[in-house]
Amino acid sequence: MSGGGALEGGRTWSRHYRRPYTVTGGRTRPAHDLELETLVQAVTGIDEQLAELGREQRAIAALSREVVSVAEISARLDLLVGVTRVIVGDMAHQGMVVLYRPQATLADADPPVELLERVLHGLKKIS
Amino acid sequence: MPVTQRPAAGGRPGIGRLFPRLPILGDLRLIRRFGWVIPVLIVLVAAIVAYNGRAISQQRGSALVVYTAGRQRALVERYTKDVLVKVDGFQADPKDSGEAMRQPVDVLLDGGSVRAPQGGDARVEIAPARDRKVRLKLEQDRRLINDLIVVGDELLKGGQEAPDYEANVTKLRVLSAQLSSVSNDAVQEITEQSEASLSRLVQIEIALGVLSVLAALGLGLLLRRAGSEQAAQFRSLVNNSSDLITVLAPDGTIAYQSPSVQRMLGRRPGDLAGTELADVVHPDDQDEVNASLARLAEGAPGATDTFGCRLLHNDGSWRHVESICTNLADDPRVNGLVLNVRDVTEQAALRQSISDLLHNLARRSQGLVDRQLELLDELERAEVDPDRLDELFRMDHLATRMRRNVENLIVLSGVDQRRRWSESVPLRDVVEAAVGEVEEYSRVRVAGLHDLTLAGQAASDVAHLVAELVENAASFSSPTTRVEVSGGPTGNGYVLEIEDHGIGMSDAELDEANRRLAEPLAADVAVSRMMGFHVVGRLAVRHGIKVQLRHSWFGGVTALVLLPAVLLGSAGEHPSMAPLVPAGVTASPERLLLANTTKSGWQPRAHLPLRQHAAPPPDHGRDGDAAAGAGEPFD
Repeated sequence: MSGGGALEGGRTWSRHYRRPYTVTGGRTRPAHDLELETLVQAVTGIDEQLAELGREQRAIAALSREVVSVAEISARLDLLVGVTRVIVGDMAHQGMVVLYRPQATLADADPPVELLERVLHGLKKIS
Repeated sequence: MPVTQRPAAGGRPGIGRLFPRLPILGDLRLIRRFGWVIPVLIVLVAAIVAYNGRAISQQRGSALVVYTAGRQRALVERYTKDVLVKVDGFQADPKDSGEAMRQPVDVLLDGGSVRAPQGGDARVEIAPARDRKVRLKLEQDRRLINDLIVVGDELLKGGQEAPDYEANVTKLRVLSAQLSSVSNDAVQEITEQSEASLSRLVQIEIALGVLSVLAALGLGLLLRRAGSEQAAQFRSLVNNSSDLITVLAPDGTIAYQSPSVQRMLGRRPGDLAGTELADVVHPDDQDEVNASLARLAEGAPGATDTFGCRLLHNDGSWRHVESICTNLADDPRVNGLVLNVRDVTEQAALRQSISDLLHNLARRSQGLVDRQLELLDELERAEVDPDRLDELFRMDHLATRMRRNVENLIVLSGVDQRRRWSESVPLRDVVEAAVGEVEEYSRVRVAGLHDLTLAGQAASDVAHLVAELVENAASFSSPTTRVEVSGGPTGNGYVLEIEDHGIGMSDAELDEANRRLAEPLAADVAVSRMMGFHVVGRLAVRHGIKVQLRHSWFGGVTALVLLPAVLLGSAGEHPSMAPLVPAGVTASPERLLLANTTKSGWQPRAHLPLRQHAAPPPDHGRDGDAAAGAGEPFD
């Protein structure tokens, strides 16, 4: 039980055996341009489509009932950033979530303090 | 072979001992030894038939000779009469009848043809007489005929006026009478001879008959002796064979053991009689032995079964044996189960060392692949560039497939040392992990799986099993088609279906594949060539999973994997599934999500006590201890 014991302590079977590339079918390039700070919000009526979705999509749908950033989703669900971007991009493509591109807000001279705090919060969580 | 040179303990010394190991040789010897009887019998019968035929033709010839000789007598009388009539001045042709008179005796002496006794102009051949006595008579006949003709000629020449007329007439009559008498004698002689030969023939036939009866009797005796020799040989075979013959009485006690028990288990043949077989079977093997014997006892008479187990040697060591058992309970001479036990300890040791080697190598590789995958995890986590992540994913995919191969090798090595993942795993994760282990994973579509969990200790094996089947499906169908994985509950578990849209398999191929799935063999060369099905079979056996291939309605093949209920749990019991259920999220999303955000992942601590305090679910019945004893992996 040399290898097994060490693995047992820290990681679950699924994390060990279910590789991240299977979540996106190997794709790494999102359908939409997504930044880490892009905000995501689920559309109403997403519940009806949930049964069809995979585990990650369901979790993202649940998280994005309130507006969250891609970075936050990645951190909270412990998903690779690259994978999160692909999934969120797909969901946006299918109209399940709405994206709020950060460029729009950054273009303003005075970005909202609230947003900056959230980004800072999210970054702390990643590290 | 030193074995055969040992004195047969309890065995009958005899000719059979010379060939105690080759029963077929006995049969050959039998043929070689008694084979001459058959041609001899054929020759005898042919001789009888030929002799009979010759005797019958001889018989017919004799009758003809008698007839011809008889006819000659009449001709002599006719000639005598013709001469006298002619001399008396009447019309007659003594010359003609003289020739006629000569003819039969010439034919009888020198051979030739005569008119057939019955019927027109037909003629029959007569062979020259051989018998000396008959020839003497016939020679005498010929001389007398010559004399008769001389006298007749004188009479014809001289006529009635000749001075010796009276004397010649008297002479003619005397000669004629003599001829008759001699002819009579010849006929008599021939008849007697033919009678004698007839009686000789009868005697010979009787003798041949007696001879045949004797030959048959002798052959029977020889065969019986050969049979008893074979029986002795067989007994000797049993006694001297390296296999141990054991007869089990219906109550499971040992009724008889062949002397090989001395060699195999270091005991004298009678030592174990009356004791239970179970007393010498290794405790770990009891179940298999009992199951095999029970199957046999319930089966039809004459049925056979096999098992392998370890038996206790007198010196306390264990001998690995393989046994072929036959149910002879309804044979009154045996009345029990006959076990033909073979010592395979050496093979077992060899197999064990190969297994250990395989296992050790595979374990090392497994450790390396695990470390590689951990490293890849780290790299992927930090990577934001899609192109570099793509390259990492490809490496990840290769490493994952390598891990699957390595873990399959561990399974094939037969060393039962598995990772004990204590917590149960969502079935969907297991299937998705399996898909990730396949080369063409992007062709695979997973749909319609229920929210179930799989016992942790079976998760990796089920994943590899499904991966083999998915890979098989993918490689035997067109690259443009999809492989579908779906599932549905059944009465005694859950069935995963892996369906391809390929060209399918013939009935024979399907049968062969299913047979291989049902009976996984020990690892060998043949296995390595068709490792896929073999691995599936082995993995399935470990967890009581049933796998079957069927024709798909879409033309390809559907693989059905029946996961037994004992491995399954409902998703609610699994901590990592709970927060994904929308209902749970809507209840108090914020609190749950915060609780999930831990450094080890998103497992909600809050749910763990629930699982620990709950009564063990049925699927954990088997590994309940392991799960409890392993403690909480998240602490």
